[in-house]
Amino acid sequence: MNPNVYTRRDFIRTGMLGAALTWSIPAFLLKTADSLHAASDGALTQQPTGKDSSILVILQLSGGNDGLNTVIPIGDDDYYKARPKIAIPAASALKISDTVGLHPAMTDLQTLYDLGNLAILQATGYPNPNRSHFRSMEIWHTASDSDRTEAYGWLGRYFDNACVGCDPTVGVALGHQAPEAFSSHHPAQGITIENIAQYRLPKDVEALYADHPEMMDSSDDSSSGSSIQSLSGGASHVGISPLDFLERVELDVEVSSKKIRDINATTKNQATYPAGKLAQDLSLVGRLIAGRLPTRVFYVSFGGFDTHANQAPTQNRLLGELSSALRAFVTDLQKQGNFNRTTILAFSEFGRRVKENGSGGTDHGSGAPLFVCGGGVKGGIYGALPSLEAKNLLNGDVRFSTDFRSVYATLLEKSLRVPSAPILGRNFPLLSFT
Amino acid sequence: MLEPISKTEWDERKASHLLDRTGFGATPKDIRTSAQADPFQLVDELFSFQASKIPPLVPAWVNDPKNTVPIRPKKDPKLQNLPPEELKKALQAKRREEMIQIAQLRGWWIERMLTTPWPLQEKLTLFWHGHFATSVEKVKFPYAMYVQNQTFRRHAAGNWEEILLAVSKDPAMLLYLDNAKSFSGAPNENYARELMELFTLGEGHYTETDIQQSARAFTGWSIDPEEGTFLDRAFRHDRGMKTFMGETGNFDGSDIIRIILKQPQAARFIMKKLWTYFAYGNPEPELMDELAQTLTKNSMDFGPTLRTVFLSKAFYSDKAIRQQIKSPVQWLVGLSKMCDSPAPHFVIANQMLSQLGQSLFQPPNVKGWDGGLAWITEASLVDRYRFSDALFHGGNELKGFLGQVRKILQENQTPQSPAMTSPTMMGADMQMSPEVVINHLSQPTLDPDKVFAGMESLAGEAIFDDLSSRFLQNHIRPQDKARMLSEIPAGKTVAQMSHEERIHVILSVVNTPYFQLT
Repeated sequence: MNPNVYTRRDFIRTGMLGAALTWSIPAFLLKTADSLHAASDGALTQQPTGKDSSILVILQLSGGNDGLNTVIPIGDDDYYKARPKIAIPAASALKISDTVGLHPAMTDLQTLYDLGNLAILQATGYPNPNRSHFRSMEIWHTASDSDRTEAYGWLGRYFDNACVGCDPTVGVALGHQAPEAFSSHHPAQGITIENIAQYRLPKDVEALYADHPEMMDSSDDSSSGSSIQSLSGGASHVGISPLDFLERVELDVEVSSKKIRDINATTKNQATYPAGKLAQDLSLVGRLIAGRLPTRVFYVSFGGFDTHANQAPTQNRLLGELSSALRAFVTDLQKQGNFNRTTILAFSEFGRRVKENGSGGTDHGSGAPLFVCGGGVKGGIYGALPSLEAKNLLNGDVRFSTDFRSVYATLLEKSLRVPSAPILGRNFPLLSFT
Repeated sequence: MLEPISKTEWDERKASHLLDRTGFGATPKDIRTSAQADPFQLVDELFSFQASKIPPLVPAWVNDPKNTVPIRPKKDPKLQNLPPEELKKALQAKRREEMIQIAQLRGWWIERMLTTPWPLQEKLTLFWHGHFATSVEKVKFPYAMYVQNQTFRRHAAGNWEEILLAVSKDPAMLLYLDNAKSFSGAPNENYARELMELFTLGEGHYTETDIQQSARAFTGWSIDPEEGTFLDRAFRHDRGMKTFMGETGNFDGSDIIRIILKQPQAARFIMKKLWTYFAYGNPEPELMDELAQTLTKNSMDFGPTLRTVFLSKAFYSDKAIRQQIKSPVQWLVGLSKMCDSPAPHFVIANQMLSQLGQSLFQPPNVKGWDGGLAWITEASLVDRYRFSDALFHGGNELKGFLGQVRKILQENQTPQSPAMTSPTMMGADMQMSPEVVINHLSQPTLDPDKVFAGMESLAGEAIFDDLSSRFLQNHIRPQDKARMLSEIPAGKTVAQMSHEERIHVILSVVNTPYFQLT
């Protein structure tokens, strides 16, 4: 192999635009960084890097959170008529306006609202809603129309458009599986991690990288046979062979693991987080932000919202956990001085049926409230909850009034400061929450 | 594309592919033997479990009647009168016991995958578990998970309609998708929706009305709260007329299944999923047609259909061989098998699989595991490398997985407590001190000398060739081969290498992207 032939990938790895060069990049790549600079191909936008760039934290509430019992229409008789058993009484809701109350377990969220950092976007959804968890989640992840499928995730397209040449930690997802939203045309943008203390290649393999710097070259001269496309789900890189994919993942680890472990070991949270997996994940995100990982998008998931039966205790626990973890995270970021550059989006794939079912639960629905929180967010309630009168419902579900892609477009344009149309396929009206 | 392979082209590469995909990997000896055999007979033998009368070995707790019924705190005479604090304690103890039961069940299944004479039966059982994904997290009744697993095994290569009926009446499924709580007037749509969306037809091949109508048809299919078995509660069934997919009648669940299977999409849907599981993703349209026709022609029986699949040219094409990413189960069971070694202790195996994203009896959601490239993230690849290292070295890395065992041993030194820590899994070793047990459990399960048995005089490239044919069975790119070769101590035969050097050489082949492929 000719050591002077550097691939586009090497170029991506070295992160020619500055910040990423402070990483533990092997010396042989550093040496070539200058010469690679010229090889930069046309990313849509030059990637702003550095410690002050904005950060998006996506918080996915999986399973379809019951929006009506989260942001409660306390003045609406139709709500109480439709849910004789599980409606939250106006008296116990946490009142934030004459007509709206929050679920009683969300006192911390109420505090964030009162501080003016929380925007509630009522009846968010999309036309022709799909009531399948998986399809609807896919629509949210790929920002597609409900009758179309997109090959890549909306954040993957952001990476493709605005972050080519970045360190792989430009996107960090926590969990077992990469979110479909990260799926991108250019591989190696975004990593999925868990169990940070042990995030490293075994010494034997690390030594291999040290002994064989050519391993950092992962060009596409595949001799492994034909490429097949990824199976369903998860982040995928269409057209890449499984072997190439595995090699890229290995390389991502080599490039990112030491930095992340160091941050995790040396950075402290500035707030006390409650117990629970979500709080644990957000506290890690808090440390990674404090440690200046050059990440633009963090992705955290929190599941269990599919409350077909006996909804009340489950939702109570989940919303309580969500609310207190979020509050701790915000406090952490505020004390770090990073709250102003951070925006948090909490969404679920759909809301639930207006009418309760016979098992003390609710079936799959459509439009639902969504939360945006951050230092730059203008707090308040945006959009109105449409009438819940039976004749106004869509097959028994809340009609959406705000397209979620308007939320994405606003976050892309105003928080991440990139043009949204190339990423979302067209222009969506921007919203005023930030 | 399903035309049969010719016997003259049968070789080690194809034999190894067959054993990997219809099972959990194979030893070099198995591969050589299979390559000598007649592929048509070989494939027939894969299905011989259908005629077997050997009763399977089961975990001991399964035979204890107190474990086979669900717990009902409000009805149980021993529990209902307890003060709240004591009730809470009793329930916690019960939950811990259930956790141990599930842990043992996982271990039992892994052991079976590794040692069964019929790997295809287990491979199909795992397929159905992923297809009709049901999680103990919600079901909370380990015996029901066991029953469901045996149902999958019994029907492993059975008839599609019979499988669907059995699953629709399966207690774990009735609990998991809430049909047990669905009754006339207020049907719960959860099962009806997933039946069509995930189990039989796929999104876009039914309407919301079909879901609502079929949910009515399934009302009344429930479980006996005392026995934990299927119960058709006629008084809860909606006896009204339903219109489902163009037919009208007083349908129940079995009618719905029958009507679903009349749709041409039904055969296509399940065959696409099976093909993806066994061969490769995104099968070509003409192949899809052939697969669906084959199932229909065989009266929806999977046995003869899969036999055709495993003997087809497409199954052995370059799109299939070594182009699939191993599931964590395939990785772990296969690694043990290829090393001629036993499975790790179930506590360790379970922890490893959980961290790698495939906790048995606990799929992430009703869609099951996505599989394919989704198995691999930065985190999971690192873990695979670490775990193989740990299985060869034993010691602290494995002790890290045994924290729960240590806790139970320390807190709960009573002889009657379940045998979580027993090396034999069925007996009890609670008399030993925690340290002794932990040390015993953290011994390495993989032994380099078993891998190198008979190779002691080999050196250099010959070692690589042998390891590569054992673990990788793939074309290795020259630069990758050079890298692996460079890890073999120069000028030494296997016999002259230290124990640590032998492990290092094996790991330089196993801890690679190549070994993640099957």
